[in-house]
Amino acid sequence: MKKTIFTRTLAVLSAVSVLASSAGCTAKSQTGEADASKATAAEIIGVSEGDSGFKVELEQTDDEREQLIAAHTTQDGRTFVNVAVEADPGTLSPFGSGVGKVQHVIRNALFETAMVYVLADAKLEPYLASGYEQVDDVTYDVFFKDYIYDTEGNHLTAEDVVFSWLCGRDDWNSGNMSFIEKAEAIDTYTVRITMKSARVGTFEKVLYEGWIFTKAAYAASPDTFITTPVGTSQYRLVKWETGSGITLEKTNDYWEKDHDKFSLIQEANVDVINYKIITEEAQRVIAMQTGEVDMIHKVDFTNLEAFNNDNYTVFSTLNNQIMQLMFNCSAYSPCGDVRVRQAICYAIDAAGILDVVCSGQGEVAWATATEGSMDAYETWKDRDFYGQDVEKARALLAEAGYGAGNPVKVKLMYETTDKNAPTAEILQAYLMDVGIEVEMFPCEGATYSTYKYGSTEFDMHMGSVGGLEPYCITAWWDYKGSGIDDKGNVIALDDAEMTRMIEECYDSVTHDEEHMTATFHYITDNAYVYPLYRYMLYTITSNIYSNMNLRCGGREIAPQYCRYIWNE
Amino acid sequence: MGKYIIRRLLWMIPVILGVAVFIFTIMYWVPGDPAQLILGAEGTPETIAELREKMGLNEPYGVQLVRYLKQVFIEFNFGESYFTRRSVGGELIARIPRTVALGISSMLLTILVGTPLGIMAAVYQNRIPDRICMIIALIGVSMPAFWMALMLVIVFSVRLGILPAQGIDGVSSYILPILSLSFAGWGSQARMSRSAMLEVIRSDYVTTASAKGLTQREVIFKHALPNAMIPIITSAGGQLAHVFGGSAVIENVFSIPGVGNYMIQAINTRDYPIVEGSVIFLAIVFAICMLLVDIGYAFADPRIKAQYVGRNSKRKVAAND
Amino acid sequence: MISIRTRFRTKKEGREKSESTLHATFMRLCRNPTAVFGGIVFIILALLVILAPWLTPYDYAAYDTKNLFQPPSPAHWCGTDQFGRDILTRLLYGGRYSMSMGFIAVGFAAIGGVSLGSICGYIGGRLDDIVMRFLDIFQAIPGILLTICMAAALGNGFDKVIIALSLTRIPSIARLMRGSVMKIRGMEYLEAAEAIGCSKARRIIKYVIPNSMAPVIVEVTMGIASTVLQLATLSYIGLGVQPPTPEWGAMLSDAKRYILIKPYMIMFPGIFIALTVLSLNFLGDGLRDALDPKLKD
Repeated sequence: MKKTIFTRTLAVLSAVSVLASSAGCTAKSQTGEADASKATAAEIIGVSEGDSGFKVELEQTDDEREQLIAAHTTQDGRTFVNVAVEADPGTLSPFGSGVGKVQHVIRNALFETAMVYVLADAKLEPYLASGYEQVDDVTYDVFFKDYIYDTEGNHLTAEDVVFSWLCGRDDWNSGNMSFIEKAEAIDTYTVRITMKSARVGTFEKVLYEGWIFTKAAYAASPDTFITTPVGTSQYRLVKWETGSGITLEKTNDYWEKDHDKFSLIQEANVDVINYKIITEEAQRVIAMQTGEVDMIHKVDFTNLEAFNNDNYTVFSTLNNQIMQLMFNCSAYSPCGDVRVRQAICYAIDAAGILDVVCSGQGEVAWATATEGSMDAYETWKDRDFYGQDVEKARALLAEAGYGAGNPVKVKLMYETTDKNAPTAEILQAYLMDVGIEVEMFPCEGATYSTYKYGSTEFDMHMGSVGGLEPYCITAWWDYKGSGIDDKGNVIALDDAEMTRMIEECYDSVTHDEEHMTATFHYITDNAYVYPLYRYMLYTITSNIYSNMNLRCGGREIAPQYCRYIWNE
Repeated sequence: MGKYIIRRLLWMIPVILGVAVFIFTIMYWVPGDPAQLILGAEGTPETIAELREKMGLNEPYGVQLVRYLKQVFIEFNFGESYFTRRSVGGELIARIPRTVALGISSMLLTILVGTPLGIMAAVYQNRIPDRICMIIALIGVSMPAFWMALMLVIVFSVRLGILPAQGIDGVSSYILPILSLSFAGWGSQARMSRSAMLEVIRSDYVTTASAKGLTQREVIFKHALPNAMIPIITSAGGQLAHVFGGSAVIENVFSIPGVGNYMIQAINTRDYPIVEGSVIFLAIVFAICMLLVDIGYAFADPRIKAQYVGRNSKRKVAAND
Repeated sequence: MISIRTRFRTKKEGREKSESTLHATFMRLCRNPTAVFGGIVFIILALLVILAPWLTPYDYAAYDTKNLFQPPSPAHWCGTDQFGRDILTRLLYGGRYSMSMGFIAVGFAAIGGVSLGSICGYIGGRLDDIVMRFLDIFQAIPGILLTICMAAALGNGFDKVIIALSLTRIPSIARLMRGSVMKIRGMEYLEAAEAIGCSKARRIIKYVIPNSMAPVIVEVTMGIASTVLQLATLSYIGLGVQPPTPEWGAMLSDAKRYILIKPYMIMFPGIFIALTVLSLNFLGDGLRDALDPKLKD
């Protein structure tokens, strides 16, 4: 029966708690056991190794189940689910960053990519493409399936793929697609792609981040897909009430007719998805309580109390991203002196920050990497990682020539988010204790992204880094002086040694434990950056969910392939 | 009469143009490079320079200003969002009905509540009802509207659960926003009504009517009130300014997807075309509403028809926001 | 020599025997119960806020991780916030920002508005027309919207917010002043002053301004109230002073996240704002009645 086939498929896909992702984020659902002494707010379900996503044991009577299903079925028998998102995406086109992460969530339901990255197996799974072959260092041949159609009925060929990828590369916000040197169709269903360099991970990124669509649909769209996206997935945009909500509906003519061939992300377990745009977290929580929505995401720990009953399930995931402090290592700033940087690191108690900002829910960081990073190693946890030592901090400052009469004055820059602002405030308090005066410089996202590449706007800045990549080296790219991209770095650093080490790590030949560990130690010894913590993300669902799947390290929702009570 | 309307219309045009120039200028001098903001982390010096050329950012201020004005007033194109590339004008048109619904309803509620309060205060002047009405009115003016909104949410959404706290899913979603937005206006409306009534009550024709032996009720409703209506309408027009401005924050509190909320979110992301477009758009809508009020005012007051007099007093009232 | 100002003594007979209008005004003010109430409340608030460091044992920026989210109690009269900081302390220190910014912003606006209004009103003609057109443009944008726009353009920071707040207030003060000046423009004593050789500037400064200040004084008082409200609104949407500063609007912005679990965090800042603004409004109303008794009855 369907259920058996499905579980078999799941078992084939992944044996670990991993969610395959099509668009670049290696979603990893991890055990998020909240500390027993603190997790009294709600009964929180973490996930144990071996499941795919989060499985819920719902104790419902048949009647209750029937009622819930009926409440979530439209007049014409289609099942629907209401999901809260935090902003209007602004655009659903595959290009452009839009506003916030919401467009990423919805685009993932509409568009598909060449392949899917499965973290556990550390390899790519077929999606629109059935496989690829490496021709030389920078060239690959990618083979696409020949029976793909988009929701408007256009047939997808290699020409369309080339068009999509090159559109992505030429867009203003090309991101990872910018590494494509050239792409051409050498066959009706084969694409030959040449990358600009052999940099680690860039080709894979194109495969699992490059959204693919047909030239015909793109040409037919009056506004280049901004409000009229046409993808190849099982869903289609039906309604978009700006600022209020977006509705996707399942089509019934998906190109993949053989259900056995589905990978997890191709599942479409609900007919209609209503994304309700609710900007304030408190209001999302209220909407959840009144039953207006069935799932809310990224809930703060303090709001969990109300959901500690049988009507809801609370899931936790440890955020893949690391909240990190980065210094201005140039002569312009007092932080250019390694002793000052180390003093700051010693003055801070990351666990204390976690306690106050996240009610203790999370994990103190040990590197700019997570357990899931392919190139991070357990041995790194063994070294002294600047635990709080106020005396040492003061001693270092004195050594650097600062003291009561001559205090260090630093400017802390950060993007104003729910977690950044309180973290910054507490940092300020810790540093005040050792005699460092901190001036706050909060900014908007766009300003922050621009200023962090400079060297005159800050003495230190703070933000969430990493987490999106299977390799932590990609987050470290921002520490080097110059190189292929020549964009500068986020720590105003001019250190040829650092550049050399990172470039070596980036080269697939020397991307090994020895080099990575050496680089890690070098960064940490010099205190160029100071990773602080990772925090728990909470998701709350109503009782229609029987299996919860998240994307991007738990940071994004995926209602289309969660399982519901009507799928059992 | 027609001349009056035409004069007002003509007066509106340079003002709107002036608003556009003013807003454009403010945004022009804001530090930060739009090209860099759009490209963000991906921008290299070359791509940024290229984009600046493409967007015409290297041209002198005057040229950019004229181009923007032409774009807005001749092509009715408010530009595109820096980040989503979505047409700002299209969004504004889609969102304005909600803002207008919120604004007009609040204004009506203010008039419906504030005017009787003020009249009662005037009729029972210096006695208990007067004091009470004025105190209620002043309390309304003194609280921040968004705080009132939050308190209403606590009572009606969180504790009682009978009204929704956000969104526009139906008429009940508008109740709390309208209430919070209009509450602040009760004060000024009541105060204006009170002084208008008082002035009228002192006037000779009311004394005459009273002396003639009409009941107090007849005096108030047949003689005093109609004449007091003019400044009351004027004051209602003054409410418009408060309502259009205050709606931005109320929309933000209740997540109502209107023009004000659009603008506030764009401010946070530094999406300047949206900010410029929203303010100009709101100023236009506001000006049109004021024009309608003025026209109504002119019809109501025969003295206006005779002599285009009320300009100064009208503007003084409009200045009291 | 009869003081020119006696022209403005009230027409009520036998009521006051005071020598100067100032004294008479003050007496009238004291007879108005709501105005007195407002005045007293405001003075109390101002004292509380000024004496904050001596009144509270807590530090407004100190984190107390053991006392997060405490409801109001004898130790913390208004409770503690998400960092364990005492809310009452933060309210008192925050009041310093709110009140001082209100005063400074309106002060600048008053100087600018009075100068502009009196020059335009007195000189009239083309200058008047042009400046009034310019002010029309300012006032074509709804008040708070203009403040938001200017604050967004100028950026965050104490001084920039004050500029934004005062610029939006200048047009109304200027207009009032102008209207007032125009009323007394034709007065004989001004002609007399001109006849004896008083320069224009001197006439404006010595005679015009003092005699037309009455409505402006009222407007300034109400203006401070309105500015405190606008500042709270700006901070609430993130444009005013930034979170570490315990400004009342910023506190409300922080508190709104916890509206479900800790409603008291929202109540107290709002009450303080309301009390400040209310007391100023009462005072302003009383001033209006006291300065021009004709309007009252």
